[in-house]
Amino acid sequence: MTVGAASVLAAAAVLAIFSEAPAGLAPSGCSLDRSLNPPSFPEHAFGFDLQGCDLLVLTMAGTRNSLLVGILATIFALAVAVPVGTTSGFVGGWLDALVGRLVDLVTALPIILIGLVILSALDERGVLLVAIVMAVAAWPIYTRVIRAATSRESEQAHVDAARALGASRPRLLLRHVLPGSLGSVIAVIPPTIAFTIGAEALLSFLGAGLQLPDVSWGVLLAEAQRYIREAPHLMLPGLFLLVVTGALVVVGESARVRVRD
Amino acid sequence: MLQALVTLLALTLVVHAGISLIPGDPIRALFGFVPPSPEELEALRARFRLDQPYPVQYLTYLTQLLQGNLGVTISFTPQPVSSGVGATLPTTAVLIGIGLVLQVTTAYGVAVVSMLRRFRLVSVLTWWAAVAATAAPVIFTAWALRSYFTLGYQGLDWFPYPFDGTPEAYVLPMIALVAMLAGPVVLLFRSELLDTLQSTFAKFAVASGHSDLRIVGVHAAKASAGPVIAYLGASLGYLMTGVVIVEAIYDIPGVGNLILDGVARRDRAVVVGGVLVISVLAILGGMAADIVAAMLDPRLRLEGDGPR
Repeated sequence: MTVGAASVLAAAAVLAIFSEAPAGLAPSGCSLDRSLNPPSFPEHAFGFDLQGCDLLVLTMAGTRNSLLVGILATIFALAVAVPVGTTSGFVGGWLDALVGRLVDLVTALPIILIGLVILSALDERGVLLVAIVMAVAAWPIYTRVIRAATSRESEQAHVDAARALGASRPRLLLRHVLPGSLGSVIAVIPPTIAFTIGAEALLSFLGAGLQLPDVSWGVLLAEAQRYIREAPHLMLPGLFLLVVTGALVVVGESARVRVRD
Repeated sequence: MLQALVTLLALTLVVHAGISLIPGDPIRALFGFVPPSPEELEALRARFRLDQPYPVQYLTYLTQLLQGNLGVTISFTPQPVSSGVGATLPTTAVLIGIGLVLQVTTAYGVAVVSMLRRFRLVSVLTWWAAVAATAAPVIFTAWALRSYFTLGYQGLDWFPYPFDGTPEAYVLPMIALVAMLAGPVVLLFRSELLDTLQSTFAKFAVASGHSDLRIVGVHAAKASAGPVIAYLGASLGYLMTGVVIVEAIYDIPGVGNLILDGVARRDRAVVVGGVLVISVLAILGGMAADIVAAMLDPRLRLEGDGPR
């Protein structure tokens, strides 16, 4: 099952890297007289959108931006969460208490909603900007996990042993605590990427995320909502979204079991 | 408490500044296609204090807010924002409250049943269902349900759309909301239960002949509840966002639509007021979750919490 999910993700990654110009099916091959045509198997399995573009090609092309938002957001969030979480978990005391409170408060806020307000303030909303909003939503999740794991790991006997041998604090942290504590964050990454991809779809759906000519699954669904009555097949890009987020959740679940053992 | 107040204060600034920076003039928007005369424009600007420098505008708003005044809407007949929030809050509160209760009961029921040895197949099926519910973005579930089960879009005429306030109208939004919320909780609760059932006390309970249902549903569930409640408390912001989305998709006249409408009209007082109310609810809910967790697990109580 995990293998299946992992191969789905690998396939999505390949799509994301190579899907710009699928042979002979460039988006420029759109023609208005095929506007909203229903799917015809096997050539045009997803049918056509309003502009008469092949929806499957568009969906495949959207893979890149959807995944990119998820991956960039993860990188940004981890760039904040790893230093903050490790330091506060390792140092403890008032710093730890402060970080803990801050994380609790930020997770309680409807960040995506606030992001919606902020993003609609901006004319040009690229992948980078959307990813930053997602990172603001995701960093407390990671920080919480890393903080807990670091303070648990710091109390292990092997860390005490290294301290007794005279290891400096940075060395203790980098060589003895981090290798143990980073494992637990790995299980949280896939479902959080799934959440991010879903949240991008959400923002785009409400008109505050990516916008054409940038294509993502969320953008396609947002375009679909106006014509769904005439053309129910416009919902098909959601299939990609569901399969990829599902695979991410499955991978995360099996990572969680493994990290625990 | 203090941190919560500071956070809310920072929140008002971020949202207020955000909405004020949106290109588009709330006064011009009032006039629609008939362009206003410069005098009218100036008069209305002055009336809503939009002619002052931005820091002054924000400080004016903040002073009002600290006196318990959420300000007025920007329109020809300004209404207090508090009455708008008051009118929409009950609907949103119903969504949040019933959503939370259904989330917790669904997650508890599903997780416990999936752990019973008699139901192997159910266990596998519920796991997949929980994965699907976790993976599906709420925007997609809500929209797909609306498209297929209301007349609004060619679907079956099973539920009313647009929203008319009847109990049936709450069914689809609630399903979308509960699916989004209960999925991750089931996955977490299941894995906590699996862990707990490995422990000595659970084996002892099995050996002393208690029923599976009692062991899993009462003893193990209580011992596994801590992390789950912590998760619930931490995911309230997520719940609030979900409520807003569901309101938007089903045209439910709640705080969420109030906010989105405020964004569209560039009406800062409405947006800040709505976001503030929702955030306060989430923070209070988080505190309540801490209390419940401490009631279930004595180890979490702070020192000096009464007799022990």
